[in-house]
Amino acid sequence: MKRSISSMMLLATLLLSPAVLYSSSQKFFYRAGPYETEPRFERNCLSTFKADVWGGTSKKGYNGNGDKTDILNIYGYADAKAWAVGGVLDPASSQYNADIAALLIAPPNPSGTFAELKYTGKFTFIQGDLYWAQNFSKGFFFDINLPIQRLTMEDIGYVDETSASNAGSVAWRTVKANLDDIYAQYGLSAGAYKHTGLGDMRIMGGWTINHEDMQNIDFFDATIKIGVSIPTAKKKSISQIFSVPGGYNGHVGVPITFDMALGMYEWFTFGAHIEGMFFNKKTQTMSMYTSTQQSGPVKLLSGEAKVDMGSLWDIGVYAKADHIFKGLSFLFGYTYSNKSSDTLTPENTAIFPTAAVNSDPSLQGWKRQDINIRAEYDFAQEGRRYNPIVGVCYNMPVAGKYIFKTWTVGGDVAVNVTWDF
Amino acid sequence: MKNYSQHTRVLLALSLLLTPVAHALIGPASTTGGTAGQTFPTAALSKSFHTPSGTWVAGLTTGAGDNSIVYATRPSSPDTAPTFTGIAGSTATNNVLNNADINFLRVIQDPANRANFSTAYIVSTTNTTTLPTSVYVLTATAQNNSPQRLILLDGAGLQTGGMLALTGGVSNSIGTVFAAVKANGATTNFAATTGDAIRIAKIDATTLAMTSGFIATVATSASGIFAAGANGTATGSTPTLVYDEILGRLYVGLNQIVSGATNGNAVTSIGMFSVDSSTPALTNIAFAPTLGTVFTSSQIVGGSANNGSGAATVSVNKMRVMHTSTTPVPVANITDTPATTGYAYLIVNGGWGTATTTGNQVYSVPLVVNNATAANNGKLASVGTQTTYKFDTPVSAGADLYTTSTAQARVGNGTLPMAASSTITDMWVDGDAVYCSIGGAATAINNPGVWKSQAMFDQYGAIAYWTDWEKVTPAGFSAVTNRSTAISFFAVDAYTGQIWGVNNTGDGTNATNLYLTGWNNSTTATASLTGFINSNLEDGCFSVLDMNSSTTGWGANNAIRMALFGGLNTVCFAMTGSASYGVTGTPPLTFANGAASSLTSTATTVLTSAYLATLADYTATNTNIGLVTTGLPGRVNCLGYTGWSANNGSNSTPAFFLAGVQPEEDADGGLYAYATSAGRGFNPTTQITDLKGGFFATANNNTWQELSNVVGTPVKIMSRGGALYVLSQSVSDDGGRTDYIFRATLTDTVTNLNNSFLAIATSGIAPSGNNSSLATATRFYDFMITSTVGGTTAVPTGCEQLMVLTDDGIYTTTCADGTQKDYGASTTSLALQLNAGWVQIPGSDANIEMMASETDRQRNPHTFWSSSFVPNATTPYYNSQVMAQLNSNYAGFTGTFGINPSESKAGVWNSDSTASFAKLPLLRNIYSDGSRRFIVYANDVTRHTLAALPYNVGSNNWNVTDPQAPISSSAFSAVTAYYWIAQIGSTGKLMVGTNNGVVSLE
Repeated sequence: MKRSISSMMLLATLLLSPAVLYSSSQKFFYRAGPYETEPRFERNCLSTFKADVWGGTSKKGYNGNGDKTDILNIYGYADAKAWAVGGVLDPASSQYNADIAALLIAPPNPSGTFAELKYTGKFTFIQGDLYWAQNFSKGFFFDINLPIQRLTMEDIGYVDETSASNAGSVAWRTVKANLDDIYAQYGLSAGAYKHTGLGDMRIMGGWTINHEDMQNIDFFDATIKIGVSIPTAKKKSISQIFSVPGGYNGHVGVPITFDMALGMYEWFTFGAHIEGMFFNKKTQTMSMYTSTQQSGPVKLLSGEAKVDMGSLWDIGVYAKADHIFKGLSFLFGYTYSNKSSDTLTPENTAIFPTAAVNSDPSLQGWKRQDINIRAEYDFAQEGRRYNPIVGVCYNMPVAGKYIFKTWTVGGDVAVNVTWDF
Repeated sequence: MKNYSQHTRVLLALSLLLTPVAHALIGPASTTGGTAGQTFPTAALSKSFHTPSGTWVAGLTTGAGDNSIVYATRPSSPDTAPTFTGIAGSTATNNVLNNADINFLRVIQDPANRANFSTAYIVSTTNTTTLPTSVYVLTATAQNNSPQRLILLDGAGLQTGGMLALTGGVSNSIGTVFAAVKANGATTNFAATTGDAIRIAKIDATTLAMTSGFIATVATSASGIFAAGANGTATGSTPTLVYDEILGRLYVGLNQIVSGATNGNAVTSIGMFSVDSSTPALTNIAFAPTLGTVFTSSQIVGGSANNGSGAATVSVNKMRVMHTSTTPVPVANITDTPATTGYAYLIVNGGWGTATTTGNQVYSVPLVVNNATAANNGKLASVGTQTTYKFDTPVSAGADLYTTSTAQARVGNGTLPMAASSTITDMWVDGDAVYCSIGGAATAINNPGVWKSQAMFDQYGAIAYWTDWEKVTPAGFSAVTNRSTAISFFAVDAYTGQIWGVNNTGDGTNATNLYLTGWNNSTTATASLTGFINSNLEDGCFSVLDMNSSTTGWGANNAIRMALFGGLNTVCFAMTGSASYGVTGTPPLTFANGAASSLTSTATTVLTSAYLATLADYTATNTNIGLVTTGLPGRVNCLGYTGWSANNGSNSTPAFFLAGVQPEEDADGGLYAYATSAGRGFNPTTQITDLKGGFFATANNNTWQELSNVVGTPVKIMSRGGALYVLSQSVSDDGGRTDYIFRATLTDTVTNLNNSFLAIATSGIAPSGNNSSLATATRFYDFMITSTVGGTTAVPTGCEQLMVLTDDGIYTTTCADGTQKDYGASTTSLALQLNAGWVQIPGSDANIEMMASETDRQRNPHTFWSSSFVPNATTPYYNSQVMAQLNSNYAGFTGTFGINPSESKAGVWNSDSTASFAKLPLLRNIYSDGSRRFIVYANDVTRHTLAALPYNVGSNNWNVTDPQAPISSSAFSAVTAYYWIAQIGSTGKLMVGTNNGVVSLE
């Protein structure tokens, strides 16, 4: 770009903006996230501190076909007649166990659905992040992000999808009327779920470069990073059917990222981001299917299984109107995320056949496409050690598979501290 | 078999490729009612069946060339016609069997490979003059052109005058042939001539050469096998031979022997031999000692001229050995050594009298097992009081024996529907069932076809009585016009449930059509009973009520045989036949088109032959024999009949047909009675003549009317002539589940009947402390009516008891007066339940018994089958069920239930108690006719499965390797749900109620 703006202002703008925008960028199936992956400024000893609060809510999601549906129906109907296919607890210990079996024994009716529930609910997500990035010299830096979150699933209900021809079945009416007790028999609850706590903490180290001496473009910045995602978040509750994990369900992740930005016309920035995240295998207690015929979110039995979590990839691009009016900037971004399938190896394949376990749609990974909109104001001034910036964002899911359609909105306050003038 | 051996597959493939014409006739396998197949080139003279491979082998009349001996292996699909292959060599080789009469035939399993038909020994004879004098051995693949021959010698070492009977089996792991031979120069009256003998021969496994063995002389004499005192006289021409591999005994039956007329002269119709383990030799063992002491009169297999009664005559026309399913040790595990445990019976066609007066009688005669003295095993057993789960003592006095009037011995609970002067054409014994075939034309006193009776047991596993004869082969209703109901030979294939048969045109001389029953799902209304049902119950057939000759309050009071089929909002009534004359009943009845009939009735109103001629026309407008009723608010879950007795109610119209309905909404259903506009039922003795007149007359404006005092959704309706009982299940708005058994006294109007209903059992209710408490039973799954007395007549007044399967085990009533007792309008449900005296049957609470079943055609039930949950072997999760046979005593179920309380239930249903058979998927239905056992199981949420699972599953029996293999007929291709399995009236059709209507094995 032509350097018609005062050189000092320009310097402050270019250096500070990317640094502020950068924080965690973790992707999950249950919410859209902000576009926060601009390259970091190369300046030695630069420190960035940031705090944000954001969140959203939804009653809808996308199922495996990419169709919009109720948020607790993204994995399909809970097919109660299939619960007994792999076995039930001792029928003599509770009549409900026999009731489930009686449901399987009840003749299937090809002319209509039978004993299938479509669950509905409302998911609310609120998260605050504490972020610190610290440059060293020659472009090397590290950053750390600690999320604090609150996940809520509430207003849970269901719609009985049983067709009229089967509605009078005593076996089904008995099970339906005693669902809560049946779940309790298996140590489960289909009730509301709320959790407040840490998300997965992320620590990364990287190298960044800012290049400005080019003929036709204002600047080219690039950053690569590698780090670790530490499972500090609460895992999915085995007892709460509709709970969601705060992080990556107890898995240690190794994220590798590459971000770039290209500045043109003195006010326009185009950027891109690509990230891969790889997880360790972990043996843990999981709720699992006992038959390939089972479907939906309800899994009565749980057991130990080695979880080979699928990798997570995302790419994003953005266009930014940079400092178009004093410190004011606008960003429009697009993010595509793809989580590969998880593979479970159950310890007890007699109860949990491997094929049955891995037929669970919740293990089939997910895909999401989000639109990100952000506005920010940069208070940076020449010669100041402390340069604050504030921003707001709105993130909207536009498509996906096996995801919640949770939009999010939030705001952040950050300050860049330059120790070396 | 379900998993064909490689050899069998090759043979089957070769037979398909090389046989120029398929000579077979299969029963209906398509919606059009069947396929007319080809026939044998000449009439069949003899037959044998190789059970492990399901191979039918027949010997034909001269003129058949290489097809003189043919075999047809069970088709891989039940829809496919069997094709036969000739194996009697070629004409060019001068094989004596080629193109000859094959009048005796016996297949002996290959001792080294019992399941393989291709190496099984096919033993046969052909006439040289009037009777055969040699036996020949070949296999399906060896010695076809030059079968091994053994010239038969008589007891004196001279060439026999002719062979009269042939059998064989595996003895001491060697294929063994037994032949009853006449003395040189003689041809008739076996055992009447010195030199008459039983010859044994053993077959070399490599060359098939037969080694001649010891010849046991069998002539009657004072010290002979069959007579004591003065000589008996064998007057019957044809003996019958049976070798039982489990007992290791050869039985010889004389078809007519007459004692001397002097007191003390005694005869028996049964001789018995053991087989030497090393050399081909027989040792005579007295079937019964001191004949004059043991046999007095009417004791089935022996008699004496005691007390001036004159000469005694006893006869055996055909016989087999039965090892019941109540054998504590699986019989399949016992081979070549005498059985040490369990129950064995000699099934005898004949009895006290001449061959021409006993031809329609069949009896079961207990045999000794588990006696410490090996030689005693197989003898005629004492039936004195025993509690040891076996008959282990030889008879020593006449009082130790059943007589021809003893319920335990009377197979079929009476005579077969044929003339006593005739002889059954074939007999098949498998599991707990006896099948007999009747040939000849349908007449007033002859009802041809295959008939079945099934053993019911006491609490020790001994036979307590037999079910009524029931026809199991189709007749008269099929569109296959060239199928006769008369049977010459047959076999019941328990592996598939199908029945093989060779029919004849009446006299047995034209037995050329081999057919196999098939599954029919016709939807053509006018084609058959099946089509009539399916054209009216397109949404499924959920329930059935068969009004047959054994139905209490119907069979003996009405000659009409009919069935009700429940669908969505609809019940179809259908005529299925008429009572037959039988032996003792009146009046005679003329059959048309070989139409099916049931057993006797004393009713004076019978269907005319002209009427029966229309029974194939089930058009909707033909309300004489088919009637469709509607107006029910939902799925007809169950159907019932109130029962009827002249002593009940006002004796005017106390009988009702009932329907239990499940609504098409989230609500309880209701019970409905089919009644006139005045709310009246009917008198079956006078008001049921067809489906058009009498009670069914249009002027009555019959409708289904609700009995609102029955709360909940009815799932079962039962009556045995005492009270009426309805099991219902209710789910309240708050989620509570309450199950009931309602009881009503029979009465004459819907209003009165409704007012009579009170709950005799309510889940979760304790009427008075621990007395008659059902407080810990929260679900009632099923119930049965039992009684506290034995016998084969209807449950006597004062003896009716109830047994209910709950989630807390099995409960039974114990009231001294019987649950049918009417305590009057002032009583309450709590008082009724208290009087019932509900108690939990000890030992029944470990598993949940979800479903029970009982055989039809029994009048006083004490034998049931149930399934209960068992855990996975390696996990705490319950994903399997086991089936059990429950046999009660007559004392009110006070603690003895099942053949052996210490016995694993899993081992009771099948002879193989290994894991794959002991544990089955979750079961919905069990049907057993004693040999053919069908299960419906649920291991798929979208489709249930129907499978056949016989009792004897070992490689030397039905060779079942996969108990879950589904029946693969295309008639079930659109079927996902099975609701019931039942033999329908006297049609001979076994029907299955499905979501697509009914599928009929016919």
